[in-house]
Amino acid sequence: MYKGVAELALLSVVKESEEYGLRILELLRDEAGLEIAEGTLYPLLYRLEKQGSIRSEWRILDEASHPRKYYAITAQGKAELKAYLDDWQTMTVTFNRFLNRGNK
Amino acid sequence: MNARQKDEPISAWLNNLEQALGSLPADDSLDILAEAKEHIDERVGMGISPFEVLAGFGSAHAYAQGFVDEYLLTRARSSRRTIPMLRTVIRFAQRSVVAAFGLICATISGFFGLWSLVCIAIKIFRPDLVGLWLDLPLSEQHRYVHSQRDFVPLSFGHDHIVFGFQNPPPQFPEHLGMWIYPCLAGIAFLSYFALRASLLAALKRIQLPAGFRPCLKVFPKP
Repeated sequence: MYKGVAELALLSVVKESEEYGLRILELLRDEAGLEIAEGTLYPLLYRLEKQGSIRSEWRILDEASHPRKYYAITAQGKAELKAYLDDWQTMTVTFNRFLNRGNK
Repeated sequence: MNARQKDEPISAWLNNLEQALGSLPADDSLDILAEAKEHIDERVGMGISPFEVLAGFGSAHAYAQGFVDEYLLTRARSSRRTIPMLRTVIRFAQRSVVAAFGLICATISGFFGLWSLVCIAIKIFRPDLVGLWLDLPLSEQHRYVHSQRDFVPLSFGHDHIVFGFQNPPPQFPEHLGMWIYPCLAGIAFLSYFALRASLLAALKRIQLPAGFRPCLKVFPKP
């Protein structure tokens, strides 16, 4: 049921702004309510980068003491995000209708 | 906890990770190590214990496995070459039902391909032993006297119809003659096509093991 949820949430995060791993993890945990571990996140980022959905770049910002790897969405990633979103909307609408069938 | 006590488990974990990532290209491996180190340093800098941070990554070997698996799958998918694809499917066959099924289909296809090539080779040197023999009509008792079972069966059919290599050859008419060459070549080509299609389909559908696939719980927001 949750297949693709991590991809959907992750692409949604990097679509808004370019982020680094730890910040993505915090956003997914704190704002999306997903309990996702480092051991899951980084291989997933690697996979999405290999398949061309996101790209990465090492940067040194003034606020950080060391370089961070920032991720950004690609055009292919945007198209995939749209497809994931459409699937998600369809699934949630259908499922809500199913759950509320007795309330009518 | 002093600085040395903090650094020791982190250094050990990173060393293990470096070894476990040995099969990746150097650039990828260095990138993954640098990113993990950066993440750990930042979390430890926030006051979280190294053991707690490392627990989020899991064992170095399990963590590395996710990257290695992904790299192998991506490389095999993009290469589209038969041998690397076959190697990758074999590697995943123990952990993935899709890979195991793909490997079975590829093996069957490979057997037919090899069989047709062996038959072509035998036909060149012993034309009388390879062919399509039909004992017609099918409704009547067959005239074929079964020889001893071959150690490696190279023919299909029984009694009325025999196709492939048979020694001694059946005592009823052979129908294909020299047309057996294009027939066998066609079977070899189709088998190779089926083998590649099985491998490609398996590689496309392989889901990485549960240890790597996102395993999520959705919690209500407080």
